[in-house]
Amino acid sequence: MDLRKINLKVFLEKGEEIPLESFIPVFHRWIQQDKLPGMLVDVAEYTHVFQGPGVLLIAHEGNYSLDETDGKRGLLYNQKRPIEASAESYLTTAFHRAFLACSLLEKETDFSGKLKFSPTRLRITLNDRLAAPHEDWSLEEMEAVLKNFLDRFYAGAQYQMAPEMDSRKLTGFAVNVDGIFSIEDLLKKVPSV
Amino acid sequence: MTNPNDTWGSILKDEIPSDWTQEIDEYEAKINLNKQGKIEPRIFAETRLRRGSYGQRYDNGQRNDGKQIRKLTYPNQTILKGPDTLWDAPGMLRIKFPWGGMTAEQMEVLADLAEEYSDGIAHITTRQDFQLHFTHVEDTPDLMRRLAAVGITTREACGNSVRNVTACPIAGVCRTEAFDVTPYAKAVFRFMLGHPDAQDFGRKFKIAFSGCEHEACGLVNLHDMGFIAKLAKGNQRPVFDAYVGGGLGPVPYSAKKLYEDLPVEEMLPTLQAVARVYGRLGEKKVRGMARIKFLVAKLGIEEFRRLVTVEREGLTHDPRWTGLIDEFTKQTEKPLREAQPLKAASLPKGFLQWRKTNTNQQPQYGYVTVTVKVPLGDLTSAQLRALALMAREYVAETVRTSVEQNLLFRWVSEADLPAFYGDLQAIGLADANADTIADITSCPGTDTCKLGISASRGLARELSQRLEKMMEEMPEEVKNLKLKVSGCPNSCGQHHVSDLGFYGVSRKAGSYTVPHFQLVLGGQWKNNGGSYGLAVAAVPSKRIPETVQRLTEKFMKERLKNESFQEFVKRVGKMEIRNLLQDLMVIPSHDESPDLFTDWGDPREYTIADIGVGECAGEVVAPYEFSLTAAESKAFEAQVKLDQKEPKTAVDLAFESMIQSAEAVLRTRDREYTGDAQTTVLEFKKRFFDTGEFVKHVNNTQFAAYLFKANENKLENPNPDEAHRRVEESQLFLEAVYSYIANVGTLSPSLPGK
Repeated sequence: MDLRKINLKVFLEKGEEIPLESFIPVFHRWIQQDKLPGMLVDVAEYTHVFQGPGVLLIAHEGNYSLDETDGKRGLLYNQKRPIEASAESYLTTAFHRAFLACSLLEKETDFSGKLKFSPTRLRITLNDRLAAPHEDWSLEEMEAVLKNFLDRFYAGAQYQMAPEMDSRKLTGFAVNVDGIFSIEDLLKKVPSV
Repeated sequence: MTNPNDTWGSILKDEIPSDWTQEIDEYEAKINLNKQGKIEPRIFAETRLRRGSYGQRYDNGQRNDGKQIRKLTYPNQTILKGPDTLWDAPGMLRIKFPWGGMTAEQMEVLADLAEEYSDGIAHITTRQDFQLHFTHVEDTPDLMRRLAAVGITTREACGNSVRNVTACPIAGVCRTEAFDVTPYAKAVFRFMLGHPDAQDFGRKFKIAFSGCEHEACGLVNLHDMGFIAKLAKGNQRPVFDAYVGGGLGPVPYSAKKLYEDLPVEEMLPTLQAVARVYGRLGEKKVRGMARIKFLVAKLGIEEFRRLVTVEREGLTHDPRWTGLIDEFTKQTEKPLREAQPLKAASLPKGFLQWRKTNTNQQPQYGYVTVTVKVPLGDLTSAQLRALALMAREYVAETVRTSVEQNLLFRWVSEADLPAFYGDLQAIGLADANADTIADITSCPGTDTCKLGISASRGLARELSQRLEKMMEEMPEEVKNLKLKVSGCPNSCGQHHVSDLGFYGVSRKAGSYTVPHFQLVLGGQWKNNGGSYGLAVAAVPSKRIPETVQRLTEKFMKERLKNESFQEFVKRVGKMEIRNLLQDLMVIPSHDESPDLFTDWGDPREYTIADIGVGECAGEVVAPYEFSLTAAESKAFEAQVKLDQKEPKTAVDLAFESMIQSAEAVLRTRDREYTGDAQTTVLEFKKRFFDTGEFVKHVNNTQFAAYLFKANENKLENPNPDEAHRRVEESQLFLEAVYSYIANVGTLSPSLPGK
């Protein structure tokens, strides 16, 4: 399956009340500091948009954003451009980049303990209606690839995968993992590609 | 199951007209040729622009990150998509929606494309288009195919071509219109798309339609060509008053009446004749003087009309002149649901206020138009999908965009309004106060535009939030004011025709540069963009909310009965208004107010043109600054004289301002420079213009050309229009000088050219 346009969203556990605007100077600083993988370009603000993309850190390979789609805030990594990688590598890349961004955000003094992401509540989609049209076969293929990855990533923990049922939306799954995991520990399993 | 070899082209081939497929395939072939270095970047740029694929800010591969200029190390550093425009840099795709019309299916496809190729947002522009930002040029062929499959072309959305044809969004359901202009707008779009007579323009060409003269809707006055619907005296046949030569840009021109009572069947051949005259005689080399407004001004409307009439007489008959009109006049809109009155029981909270501001009665009994207020014109994919459902459920997909960056649903039954409102609430689009002072139009500005000087969207966002909170207590006369923001003088935000208009400028403060907005007052939205405002004062960006507050309070307190804001400004005078804001224009030190040195929504230390803090040190007032102050003062006095209906004095003062501005530039290199007007013009031309020094740092040949033009033609007996333009040009030359100084700093070792 072509995972070149994989999207991974890590939902918040704590911090819904932090104004979205607070993330803008953080993302600008990250550009100055080359804080994240990828070629960081710019910051785009959509705080005025209802359940929108929030605040984006635009990067060449893939964007990072505090996304509020469906009214649920989370860190979204949106892989945009191809990289030299296998399907597995795209997943590793997405998990590494998303979890790294979460980890760094949690550590920002601007948010001092008020922000926490949940590495066990995810949404994984394929932002490509050509490679992954919203059809049964596509969901099945994606499910198989994800299960193969998640089984190892969460070290055999139980998890539930609920497919996106709205055929207008992107092919994907909501993932809920049982158990307690730390972002830092999980990050070690997905080194930078 | 999808075949792994499937492409969007193969999947959609039966759904796209074959000629459109061919165009897109050819465009894609050019992309591949460009990647192989077989096309000159300049040629490829025009190719992609003519297909709506635009550049965005930082596509030259550098960006100031607030501390330093950062090189953007895209993978492809050698392939260009235009002069100085890197291949991988994010771009923008402009998507035309002629006359603003869109179907539910088109909304759904747009939703998908915003997700897959953009930042998740589809943006409504001030010309009824949509734009997708942060796209990659390699994705544009598939974007175009998917749009083509639902009847949308991006062809000629940008470039030196006939751009999107706009029309009043309530055409056909308007109580004041002479007749529905929609079929005629459709005919123009179809006729002019790719027309051979429209392929050799020096610049863009924008066409608009209005159903009536006195409302704003089509803004014909601002357009290269426009048509206002009328019924002929006597036989009441539908006719048009045809206008030509309008245009905004840095110096706005009012359109001139080309023909009165033009029979509708003459609309297309007249347009074709105008295109031929413009293509033949319009400026092609100097881009800044290439719009048709300059040609009309140069020839005069009488001579232009004569040329068009001769051209028209020589045209070979084209059956489409009437055939297209016949075809499209047969397409009429119908409601989906029966008109029923509103039942008053248990209305949702907020509904009544929303209904008051966001709905308008149609002449067709029981139906209303509903304006969906879209903050800054931005829609998510989820919102678009929900709106598509509503377009199918409540109306027969009769939806249009507006130039105020909103969506209009037509033929909504009164009885459906509560449910409609509830559906809008669920997607966060039920804000009341559409088309009021809190509903602010803004161009993209420094968010994404290469020409942006100040953060127009950031300002609009801030102002909108503040004004919304005040709406309940605000008197009607203030609520109904129009407020528009542009990121630079080019007026994509249409600031010239609003009550309160702002355009981005910058000012130096010691070694720093401070974002400002120039306040423009006296514009008129009604009467098709009836008249243009003039710049009054440049105020730091962060003080614009205070500026708006003071102006609106003064208006509320001192307004005479039934006095419009425009009349109020005229009566009170710009001098008094400037005095009201004088203290806001004083810039404290960076240490005192660091916030002033950043722009709205952007914490970076403000710069222009990606240049960091200048080398000029200290707070000593340099001689060039005296010249700038004098230039500023003369420019303002010129405006005052214009208000006092003394055009000759205004013109003379404007010229004096320009001389002071040129002197300021000369003094950046020679502190002791003095000279009379003629010497100053010659020295400026020799040292700064002919050497390319000035243009290099201002990136525009037009502004310096104003000085030379003013020197050659002193306008001994100017009419008000000419005086207005000369005053505007002096202001723009002054802005260009500020920009030059900010970019270059001062006192390099010697004068260039020495």
